[in-house]
Amino acid sequence: MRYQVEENCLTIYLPREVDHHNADEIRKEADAVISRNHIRYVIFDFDRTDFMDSSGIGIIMGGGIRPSV
Amino acid sequence: MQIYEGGKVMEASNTQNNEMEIRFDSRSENEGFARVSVASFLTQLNPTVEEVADVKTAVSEAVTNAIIHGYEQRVEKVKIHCSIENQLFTVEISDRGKGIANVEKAMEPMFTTKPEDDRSGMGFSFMEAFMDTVEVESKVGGEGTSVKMTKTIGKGSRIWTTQSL
Repeated sequence: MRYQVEENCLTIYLPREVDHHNADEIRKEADAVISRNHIRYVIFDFDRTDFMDSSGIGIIMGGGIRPSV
Repeated sequence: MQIYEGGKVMEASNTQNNEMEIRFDSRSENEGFARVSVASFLTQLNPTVEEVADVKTAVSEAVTNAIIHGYEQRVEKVKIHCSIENQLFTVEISDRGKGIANVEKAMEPMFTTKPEDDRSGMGFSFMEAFMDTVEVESKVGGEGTSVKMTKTIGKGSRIWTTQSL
């Protein structure tokens, strides 16, 4: 997963296709980055994405992005 | 085939019937394959980019449901049957999995039996939004589920013209 951390802001660069197959992986890696850094803001960059189904909605809806305590 | 004649779009007689069927393992790796296969088959109807995207998304939702809910951790077969009759496209995704206990509840937006997996519960809502009709038949106890969707391709497409009439 391509991402960039700048201060307390995480930018996630979503891949070309966002579906059930890679949604889990994206979420896990995002969680890992968030738990390692003090992240307050998350930006989802869909520039490269040309397909997404409701699994992507699951990622964005914050179910998978857990704020660091 | 459409013919532009004096400001109106005429349908030339175009009795086109075709069908195909594929069966594949209920692995998430095959979700992309399923989308592209159905999209390829759809091409003969001259769909717009948006119509292809709509169908791919609906197929992705139904196939994902078969994999996550129908078969859960098991690897079995998902079947997709597509047929074309003139501009009417029909796709049926079926599995021999767990079955849906309450279809009406399952189709409610944001309802999911797997909230712990961060599922959005929007699968059926997406299918209903992007396809013209969605029919679900399911029986609990290993008989499985079948989701049949239709879409008329080229419905409501307008001709752009730059000539003065």
